Amino acid sequence: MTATTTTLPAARPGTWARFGRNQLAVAGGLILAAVALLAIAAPLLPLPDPNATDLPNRLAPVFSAGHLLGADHLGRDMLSRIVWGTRVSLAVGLIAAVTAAVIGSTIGIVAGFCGRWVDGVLMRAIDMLMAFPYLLLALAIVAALGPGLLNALFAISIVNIPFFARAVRGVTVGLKRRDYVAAARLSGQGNLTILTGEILPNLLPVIVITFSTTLGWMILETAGLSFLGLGAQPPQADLGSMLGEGRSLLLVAPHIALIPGLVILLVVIGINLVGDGIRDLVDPRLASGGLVRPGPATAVACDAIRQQAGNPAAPDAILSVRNLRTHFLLNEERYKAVDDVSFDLRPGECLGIVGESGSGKSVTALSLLGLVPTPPGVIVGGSIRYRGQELLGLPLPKLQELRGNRIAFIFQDPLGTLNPLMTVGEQIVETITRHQGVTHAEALTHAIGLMDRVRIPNARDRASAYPHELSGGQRQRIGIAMALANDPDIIIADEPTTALDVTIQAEVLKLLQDLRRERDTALLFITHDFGVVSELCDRVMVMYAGRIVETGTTAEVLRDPRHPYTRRLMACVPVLGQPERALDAIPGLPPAVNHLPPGCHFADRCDRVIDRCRIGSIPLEDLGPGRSSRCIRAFEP
Amino acid sequence: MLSYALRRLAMIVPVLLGISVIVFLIMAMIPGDPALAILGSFATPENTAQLRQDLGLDRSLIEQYAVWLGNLLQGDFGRSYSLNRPVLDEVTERLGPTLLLAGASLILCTILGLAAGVVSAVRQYGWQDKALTLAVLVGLSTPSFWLGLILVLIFSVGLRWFPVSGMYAIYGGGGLTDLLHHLALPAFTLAVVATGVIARLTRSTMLEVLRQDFVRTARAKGVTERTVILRHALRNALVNIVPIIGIQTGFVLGGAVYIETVFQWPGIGRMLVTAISTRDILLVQGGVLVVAACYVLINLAADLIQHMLDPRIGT
Amino acid sequence: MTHALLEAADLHKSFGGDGWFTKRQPVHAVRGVSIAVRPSETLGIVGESGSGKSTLARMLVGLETPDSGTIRMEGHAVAKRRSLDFHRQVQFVFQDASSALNPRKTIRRILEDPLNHLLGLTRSRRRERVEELMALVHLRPEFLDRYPHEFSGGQAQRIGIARALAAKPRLIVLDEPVSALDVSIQAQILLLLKKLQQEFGLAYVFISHDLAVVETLCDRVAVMRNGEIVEQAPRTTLFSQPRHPYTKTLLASVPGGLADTATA
Repeated sequence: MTATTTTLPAARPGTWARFGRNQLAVAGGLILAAVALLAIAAPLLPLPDPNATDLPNRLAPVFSAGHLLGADHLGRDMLSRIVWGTRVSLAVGLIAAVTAAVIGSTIGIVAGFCGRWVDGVLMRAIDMLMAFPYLLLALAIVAALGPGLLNALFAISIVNIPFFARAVRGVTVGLKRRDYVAAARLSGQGNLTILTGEILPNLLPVIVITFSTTLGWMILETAGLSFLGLGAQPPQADLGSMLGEGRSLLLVAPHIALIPGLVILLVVIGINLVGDGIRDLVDPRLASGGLVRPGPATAVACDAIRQQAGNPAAPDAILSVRNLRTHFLLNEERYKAVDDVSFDLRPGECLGIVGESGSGKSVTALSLLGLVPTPPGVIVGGSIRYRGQELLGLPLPKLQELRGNRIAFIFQDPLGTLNPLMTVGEQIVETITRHQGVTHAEALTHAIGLMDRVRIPNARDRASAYPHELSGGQRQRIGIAMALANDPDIIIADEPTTALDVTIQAEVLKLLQDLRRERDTALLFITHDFGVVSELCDRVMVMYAGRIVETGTTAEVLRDPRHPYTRRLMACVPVLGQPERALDAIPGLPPAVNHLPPGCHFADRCDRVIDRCRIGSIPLEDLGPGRSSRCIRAFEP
Repeated sequence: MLSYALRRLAMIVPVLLGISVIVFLIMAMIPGDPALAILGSFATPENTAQLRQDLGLDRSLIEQYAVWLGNLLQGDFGRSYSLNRPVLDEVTERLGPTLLLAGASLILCTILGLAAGVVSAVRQYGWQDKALTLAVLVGLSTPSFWLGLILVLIFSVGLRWFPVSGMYAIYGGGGLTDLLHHLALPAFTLAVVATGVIARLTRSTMLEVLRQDFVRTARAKGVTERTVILRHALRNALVNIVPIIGIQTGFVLGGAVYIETVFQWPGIGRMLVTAISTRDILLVQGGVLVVAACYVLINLAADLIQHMLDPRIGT
Repeated sequence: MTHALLEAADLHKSFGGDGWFTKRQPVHAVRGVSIAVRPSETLGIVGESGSGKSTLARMLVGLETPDSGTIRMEGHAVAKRRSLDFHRQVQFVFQDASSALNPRKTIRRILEDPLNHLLGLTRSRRRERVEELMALVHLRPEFLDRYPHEFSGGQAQRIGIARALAAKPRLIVLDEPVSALDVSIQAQILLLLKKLQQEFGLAYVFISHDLAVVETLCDRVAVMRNGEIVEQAPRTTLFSQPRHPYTKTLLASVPGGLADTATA
């Protein structure tokens, strides 16, 4: 075996570059920078003394001579007061936030890492603080200590400590259970090294996120306390106290109250925009563009519908797919998940699609009824015909008529694929009432019958169970019952037994086999397991890097694989009862489907590769009826 | 469900005790002589000595707490010296208006927040989403006391649609319409920030739920998009949103302090601000305790609702 | 007879059952398991989910503490809190390779940890050894300064194996090391494990749910169910003459007519 020579995915763009692409965050950053710069430079700016009274000019309006933003009831220059007040507000908010962050995070880390009674005591105390309405606790503290800016700062910090403590503790507890922390222990590291080396670096994101979300509040709340007259005391002034003073003059000179509020709004918007930007950066779920809503059906690119040429559908086929191409468009990269896939499915037959992860087998299956999430998936070409009707480009209501009715799905993970808040009976009923004009009671009777049919004991009782109350095997039986509900022509099963234990898998496979025989339903069965294929499928297609590389009857393909990938893939799998059989491995990794090599996709890992393999596109060679291989050397022995 | 409710009810006893401990400790932070601080300008040598004895200042902190808690449990929250009446009377009188204001804005922010969040998620990156996201951002960043002033300036002073302040009109007021008329502006102002929080959370939770496998299953069954969103996605999202609405109650009750001050609403918040500036410590203490207890009960309700929504939470 | 390398006798472990407000039945994950591994042999432990096989593995290396029972290393009882010497002798490979690598550390730092803390090597010796380790698991030395997220599952598992090898242990406990991998990658890892065993005379405890994989790799096999070992035998005996009905069911459940048709 040779050294692994695959290329690694390109490094992600730099953190700053990604932040820079977020225009809102940049805008927020600019606002914030401008305000902060003004506040810091206040002593250097040619501003009048903010406390110098000038009674003749009292309540001067905005844009009056000498007072750009007017003057207050003592004739003090508003511009100067705003700049100096911003300075105070920013400083107080920042100090409060840093204090809360340091104390809160420390409590959180200690509680999370020590666990046991330390955790119990600390977190109960934090819970008590959280049991107060936010501002009320601050008020109580200020009431005890007396009004004043420093006391307000103190109160606001205390009130915000729980947010840090809770967030940090939660993440710490999670991190402590991670495998890499266990690995560090086995590497001989002590508690302190683990805390500083393994846990702390992974805690930084949550601290940064909490800081950026609470900083805005803290500035608002300190301003609020000053507004109520409980924070900054004259002659000291922050934005909040200026607003409070201006309140009584609202009708006479509204600008005195409005301008400080506007500045607070601006500062907090800036902080929130930057905070959101930071969160998008450091929260991995958001960073990977993870929170994109998939549409109700896969997008079909316009030119796809025009490309419905290719071989005519087989006359006896119930479903025929021609040149299907489903691509993922992510970060300006095109991933060719499914490229040029064609096949026919006949009534009552079981067709297996075999491949490793990333081969495109599941995407092929999901494309058939437009269940590939868009974004990022787009069907860019091909044709899918069910009983002669073209499914690509079909309007959504028509597609929904077919889904779960004539063509039904069974998915892999039986826990995640059932709605956790609905009883399993209700979930089957939903399928029935959607497609058949029956009452709820009739549908329920039908559903219970189906549950009986998939051999769930006590079906009537179990119908009112929630998914989490069933075992994995039973959940998958519910999935099967749901698929059978409307007596479909085609069932598409996407790795339905992969998540199950081997004894349960055997039972479920037997059930599927029986049901199929009984009802003459066509079954498209997606799996990575040749063993399962040999049990269930009449024909099989093997996929690799988005393409079909070999097709044929199951017996033929297993006996005489004609594509090097199929042959070597089978040699990779240990077979029960043949421990002496030499295990072969395929060197390297499958190619990334956004950087596919020209020619044969398997060429880099193939032991029969010749120069011609790397030129042009390799067609699927016809090797006789229903038998083909995408290899230019398929005819060689 | 019932056993869960009872157990959850039992669990609020230690929480209430904890609240009393914290309030007691905060009052113990008062610099100087607490009796003098409490009496303020009403202090005479006689009543100071009397109060010192009532508070048990000559005894240990733990004994003081026991005495204090004993009094509370008997409904004795002390006497407000500035108002010259029992604290509990004043607090209960003002609790109603505060709960009314907070309740109204809670209903408002839940409806508006959920609606905005769902629309935002369903129309992700569409113009509705962009507009709502921007509105939510501004809402979250606005000082509510300032917003209140602006609304008064526009709608009360300028357009004269709503009264400037108070709960009832001074002459000939008192009916329900009059009350709602007075309630509209303060309730809306108070709801703005919480609406933003709920809208944001709803949007992100909906987006997260819509990516889950069971939504794909629902779509594979052929149900309409409306059913997918309302029956499958929103219900699952609510499990995460309800506790946050419970927590928002805390922010709303706190924010009521500003709003009551701006709109001269006769609630506990305004009472607290006055009490703090007149250093009427016992009144502050009573107000804080009662509102915190209400908040604990509201969170209990949120918890029970979440429990009803989610069968997975242990029985 | 010489002492077994690692020997566990009558191990018990249960979880849960200690809630404040809820009285939950504790889950008995492992009940009364005894096993022994001899030097340079591979002991396979097969079972379905919930059989307690992973808990057993974690108790062997010291990631969980048994409720009762003893673990002996070459005849000497090991302390509840394992010594550095124990970790030098016995190492562990995780099922989910990527989650066993700290996302914020480079591969170099990850591999240097055991060299530093277990062996106390100098900086320059560590540098050399780290490159040696990469070569052993067929990874290019350039990968050393990259972060875990840049690696595929198979590559991450190689790094996990390299880390386990770092302190030159005599026994490696492998908890489902290939079950998260695609078959072509799984075969690469299995071959690598075989090669390393021959090269260094390692002993393995190999936990798996896949009977065929266990049959290819192991000398002796123990079958676990509900926290107990129901059958333990040399490989050939167990697979050709299973005695316990559960073992028979397991063997009969493996899908595949491949056994009849494959000619490779």
